[in-house]
Amino acid sequence: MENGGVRGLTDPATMMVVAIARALRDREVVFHGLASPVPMVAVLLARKLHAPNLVYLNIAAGVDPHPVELPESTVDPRLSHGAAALFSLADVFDLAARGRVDTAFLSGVQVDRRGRLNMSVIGDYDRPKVRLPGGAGGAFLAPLVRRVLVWRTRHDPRTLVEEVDFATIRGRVERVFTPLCTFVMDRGALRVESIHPYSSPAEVRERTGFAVEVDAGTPVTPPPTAEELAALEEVDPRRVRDVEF
Amino acid sequence: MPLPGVLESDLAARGHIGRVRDPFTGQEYAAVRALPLDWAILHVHEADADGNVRIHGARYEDLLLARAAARVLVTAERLVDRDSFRAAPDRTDLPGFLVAAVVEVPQGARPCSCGTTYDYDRDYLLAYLKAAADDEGFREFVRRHVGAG
Repeated sequence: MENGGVRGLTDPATMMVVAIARALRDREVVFHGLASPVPMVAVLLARKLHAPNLVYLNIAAGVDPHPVELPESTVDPRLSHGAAALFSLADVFDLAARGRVDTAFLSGVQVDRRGRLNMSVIGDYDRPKVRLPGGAGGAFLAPLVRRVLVWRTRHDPRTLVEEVDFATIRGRVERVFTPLCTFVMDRGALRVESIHPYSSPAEVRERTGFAVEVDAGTPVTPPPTAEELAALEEVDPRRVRDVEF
Repeated sequence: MPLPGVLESDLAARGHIGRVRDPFTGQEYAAVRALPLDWAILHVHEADADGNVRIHGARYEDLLLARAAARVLVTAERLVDRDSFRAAPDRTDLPGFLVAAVVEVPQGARPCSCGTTYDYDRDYLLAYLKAAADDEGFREFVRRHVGAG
């Protein structure tokens, strides 16, 4: 295998799953829903590396699955392979309402400076320019879990906006992961926590639709280590993570 | 289930979400109007002539749908003998008295998947998405594949 560092530096999909995996903790209860290949890979990677006792719940309903082949669709029954129990979506929402889901992955077409997500409309709700797919339960789940991790495989001013057209989802966002950087919520607003090694403060500033304070002193995300890359190669050899890019 | 929290979403101001108060704690919860469903149509793995149903693997929202609708129509990969349900009633997902009609339709979920029995037909679904991009394409697709209209 080629030098892991060079490959890691030039591959946003890899950098994102590694950055997300690093944020997951052992023994926590994690959930993702539909259309979530990047979180799926990140959770499996975290479990392999530093979080072997993480509880992995997802919309395919298998608890702590051991999939043989990662599917492109995260609701595919293949994702439940190896699970000893099933836990439905209704069970997950109930668990969250009881305060026992630690981390949920959510996304949105627009993400704003205050960490709100828009899944509903571009433009006016009653006469929209674009009617988006809808909140898919995220509006209900976000205020109930301990923290929301947002991921978005695009980083541009139409995605990261000053203010969303419609705040479908408000609640408990801790971090936002993009191909260029990781944001962390700080006193009600998103702050750049680290910039990925192949990007730059100028690029992040240009491609973010709200003002960000970045300069040469902003931390750089450590590139994927050889150990992380080796684990990722075992978890996602066919690069299903690329399906979101 | 009534949930707190979603009242913070802009959706709450749009009239889709009602508010109810917990009579014991005073906490405010969101309520959503029940869907007025006449029929729930479910494709399942096994059913008998009485409408007893067994689903293999995850049930997703099927059991909720069955209870939310006035009537349930079941299509099944295969019809089996009533005895197979009597032998393991704990493995029955829907009791027959909730089911209005049963039809044996092998491959009935196609082009979508049916648990781990068969996978979705990717090429067919991509062709459909392409065809359905406009009205004429959609009509032609339905004519060719469904034979209607």
